[in-house]
Amino acid sequence: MDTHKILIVDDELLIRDLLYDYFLSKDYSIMTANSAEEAMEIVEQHDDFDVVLTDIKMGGTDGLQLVEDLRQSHRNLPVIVMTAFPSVETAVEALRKRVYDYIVKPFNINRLYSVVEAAAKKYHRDRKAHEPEVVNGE
Amino acid sequence: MESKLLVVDDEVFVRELLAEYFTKLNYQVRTAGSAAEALQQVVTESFHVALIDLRMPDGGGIDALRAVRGTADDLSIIIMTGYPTVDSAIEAMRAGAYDYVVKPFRLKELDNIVTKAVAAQRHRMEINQLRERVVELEARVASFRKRENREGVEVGTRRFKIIEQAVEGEPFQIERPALTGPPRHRIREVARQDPLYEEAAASRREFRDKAVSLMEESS
Repeated sequence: MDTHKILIVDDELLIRDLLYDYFLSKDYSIMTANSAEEAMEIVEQHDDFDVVLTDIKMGGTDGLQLVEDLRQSHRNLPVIVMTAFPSVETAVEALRKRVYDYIVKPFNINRLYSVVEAAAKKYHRDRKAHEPEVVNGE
Repeated sequence: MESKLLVVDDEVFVRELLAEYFTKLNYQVRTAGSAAEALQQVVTESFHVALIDLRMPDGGGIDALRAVRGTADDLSIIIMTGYPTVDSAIEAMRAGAYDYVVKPFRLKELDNIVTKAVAAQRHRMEINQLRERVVELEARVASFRKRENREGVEVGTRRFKIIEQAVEGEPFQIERPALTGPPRHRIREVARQDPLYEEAAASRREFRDKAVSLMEESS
């Protein structure tokens, strides 16, 4: 089975650590960022993430802006947003930016896992299916 | 062109208020008091935007949204509700709503949203038309390839190379590493006989712009 690669973005160390340990136990390859800015730097250097999981409310650039920035370079990379301050406005905005899901904190870790897993699997599969075929040696 | 709006709400007062307001703004407005009525309307008429109340006696607005969307797939649908929840907002957006508006709203705000929704609908319609055109161009490319084979002209192109080059603006003049056999002018001769060549050359810029927006739009 392929290992999935996840980027976890949250300005709270506790959440990052919790999610890091959890996804490690699920055999994920993990990188973490404590801000949207750091997340963009990481994504620019590593082009092989299957899914991004980000908090919405963070110091500096927020998670919804991160989704928009990611869309410029990674149109189809699934992004799941998390928030402890759910609102209709952010939910509508997030869905309009084509996030994979909008998760309210505190979350049930099993439910979060099933969402992340589904997103990563789907992206992994789509990416494989769209790998350019080699024709005439080009 | 007059924009067409469908207002779906079980409350007569809301229907009439919105119908009057948008008629004054030069919209052509139809109303429906239920999901079933709405569905009947979209089957017989085409609309740019539908405003659908989330809670109606004969079924949720989200079911109505899905049903209406199934019939008119480029229509922009705005869900309205006096009972907003994060879950129903997510469900509505997932089901393809253009926006989710909380009642009570200011009519001017709703007008702004509807104006954008009309533009989005027109854009989607253009995209759909462009998609059809791309399919047509693909078919022409295929016929061109057949001719290539028949006339023994070996260009070593990949699929869509001709479209790509048309989009780039330099059809049939790009360096081809795979070009070993016939001279380039022979390839151009064959290419020029294809209707695709004329069409591509004529509408190159328009096609490129549309293709870019198509790529941006499609997920």
